[in-house]
Amino acid sequence: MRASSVAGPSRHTLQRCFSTSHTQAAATAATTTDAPAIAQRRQTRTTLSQLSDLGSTQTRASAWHPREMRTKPPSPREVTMSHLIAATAHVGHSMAKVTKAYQPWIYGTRHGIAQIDIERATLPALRRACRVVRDIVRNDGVVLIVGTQKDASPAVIAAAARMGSHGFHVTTERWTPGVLSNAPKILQRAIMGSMDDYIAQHKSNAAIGGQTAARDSPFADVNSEPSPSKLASQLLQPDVLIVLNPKNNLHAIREATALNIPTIGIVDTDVDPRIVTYPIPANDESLRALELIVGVLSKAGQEGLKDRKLLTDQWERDQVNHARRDKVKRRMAGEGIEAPREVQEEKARAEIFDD
Amino acid sequence: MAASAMASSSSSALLRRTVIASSSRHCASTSSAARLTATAQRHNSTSTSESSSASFPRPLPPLSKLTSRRGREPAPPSRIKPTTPTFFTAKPTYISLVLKLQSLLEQSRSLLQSADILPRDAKPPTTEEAALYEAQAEIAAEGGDMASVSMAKAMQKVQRQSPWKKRVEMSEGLGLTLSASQYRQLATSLTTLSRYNGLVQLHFAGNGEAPTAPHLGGAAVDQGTKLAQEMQSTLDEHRRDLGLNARRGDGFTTKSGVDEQGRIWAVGGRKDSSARVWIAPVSQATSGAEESQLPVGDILINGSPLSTYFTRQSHRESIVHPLRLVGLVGQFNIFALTSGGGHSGQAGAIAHGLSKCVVRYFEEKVATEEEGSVKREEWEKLRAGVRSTLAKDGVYKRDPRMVERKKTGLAKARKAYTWVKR
Repeated sequence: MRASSVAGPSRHTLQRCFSTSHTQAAATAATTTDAPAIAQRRQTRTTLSQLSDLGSTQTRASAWHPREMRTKPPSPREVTMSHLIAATAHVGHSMAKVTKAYQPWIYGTRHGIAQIDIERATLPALRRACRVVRDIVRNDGVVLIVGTQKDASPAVIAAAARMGSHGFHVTTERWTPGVLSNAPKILQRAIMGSMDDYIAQHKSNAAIGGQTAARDSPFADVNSEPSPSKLASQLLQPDVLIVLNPKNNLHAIREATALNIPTIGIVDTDVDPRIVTYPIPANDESLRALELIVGVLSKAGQEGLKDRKLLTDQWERDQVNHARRDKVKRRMAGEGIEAPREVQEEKARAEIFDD
Repeated sequence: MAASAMASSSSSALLRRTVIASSSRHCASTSSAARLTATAQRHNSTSTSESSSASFPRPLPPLSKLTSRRGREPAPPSRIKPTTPTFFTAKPTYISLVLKLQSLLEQSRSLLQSADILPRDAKPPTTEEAALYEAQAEIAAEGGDMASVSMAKAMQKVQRQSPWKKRVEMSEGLGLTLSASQYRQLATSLTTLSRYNGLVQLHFAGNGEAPTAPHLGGAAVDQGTKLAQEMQSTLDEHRRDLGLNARRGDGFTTKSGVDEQGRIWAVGGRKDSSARVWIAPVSQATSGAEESQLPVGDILINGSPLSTYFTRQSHRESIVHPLRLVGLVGQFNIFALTSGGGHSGQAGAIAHGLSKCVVRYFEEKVATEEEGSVKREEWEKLRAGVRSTLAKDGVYKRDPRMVERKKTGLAKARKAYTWVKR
């Protein structure tokens, strides 16, 4: 929603070319909010936009801005080595701190700093993690992104939002220990607040004829309403945990591992990569690298969401068709008319596949 | 080499040995393919009947199968998911509110800057400026002349605005217990947001008076209108409901009021004593014979006259002291009920309650006059003078001194036992 096309020479350069009275006015306009000041600023903007045709064709709209890492990240198919190196994802820590298990992923050293092998380690790992996220979202899973660095919040929130109702985040404050392993106690209040929603969800699922438990559980029973403790400990748990700074969130990783929840993590050279299921070897201190990686993962999740939507739409259409066909079948059975070929075929198929 | 390091067998063996993973007997599964296959196997139900309650959703068919009409399997219904993205923070409503306030702040700042209303990298408007803009926005909404708003009036209006909800009230609204620092963060964010609210309402609430930027497109204008509505509703939602005290001149919220018969009451306290004090102005025209005499107000405490209840002169004087300061001795009939503590405490409590009554009396006088009239300004001057006099003396403030507790190892609060050399 920014005004387009402030191109060519910079605003400051052009303002310096103006007359002294104009610059003085511009100086006062820089500090006040009343009508003359607003008019002054707008006049400057109009003049600059009129002069923009004299400059280069590169405009604010066409040039890349760091905020685009958050708003328009590359998709898993588009991300390249260049993206990662430009984001300084290859810079590790000193060679003395490199953990043993990380050794295969080091490309070399530069000024005593370990350099991560982007081509052979980071990119394949990133693509693998993207596939995991995509397939989990496609299978109606819940993705939880944990990124507790202070500046990471906007990127993490945008990434979770891209996955719609499947994306969740822990970002503004620290990870509360026990959220997964002691969920009935820690999440009790949060669940009680939305109990009506969960009962409604359960009822609509039961009406469709499906099940509600997310995990293999002998207690999954369509007829009974889910209790808050069952919701907390079974039904509302995430299916994958993406940790953007594993060094500071070991509690989260430990809880997920104990509950057999797969974890994806950005591991730096001083972290043991074996603590997470799908390590992505990259620099965890660079905000740009973090935004790039979480953006790419969220785009994969978005893809999975699209696939799921396609399939559920198709399923809904099938439901309508099945219902229509059932109606026709019943009517025909009632009237004693021989079923058409399609219906006969379907009957035969059902007999074959239903045992 | 790198690939082998990430191979299933070595990573699974290593995982079992790591300290962090050792707490779980069932380690995280191996490679991605194996994981998905394992999941599929564990979840795959051979039975095609969908009424089987223990079965899991069958893995969705690949997209290629959609092209053929036959062999298409229905997708399973949605699993239960948490309702808000902040569910796993354990305080979802609080975090959601913090993020909402941050986002509203960012949106309003960027919108105002792109419309050239605020210069780039501007500080938020000061409280006075914000008050002026809010007043202008209100008048513009009613269709009046914006230039008629004066700074003084704007400040008055802002002062009459209620402050934010108290911590307990806000906690109830969010459904969890807020700590002091969490409440402080919310209150600060709300205050910062309210400083931009005036400008946003003035320029984007669709009042028609203030022209929006010509270079902004229609979409930006719509966004501005939506933002203005959301900001106003969010701020109003978190304002404290002052109730009866809402129409006071300065948002004063002490416990005092007016009862049905027009008597002013207030509550006072000192040490362990508390007092409820009622005052009523002595009517000037009582009887013809006493017109020439000065009016004398009666003072009743727990049903007894002052002289009976308080025998000590200093106690009696401390009770009358607030009236003496403002020159209204004998102008009011005073009735007080006290309990708790001793004589001095009760006397101090009555004095405190009485001074609050007197201030409240003048506030009521101000409130009954028409706004903007000369009389109202006169009463307002009197009220301000009375309040400042009583406050300067200290009788208007609840004396916070309480009996200090006895400590272990000391004879009393401060008195120590006699020191013995050996």
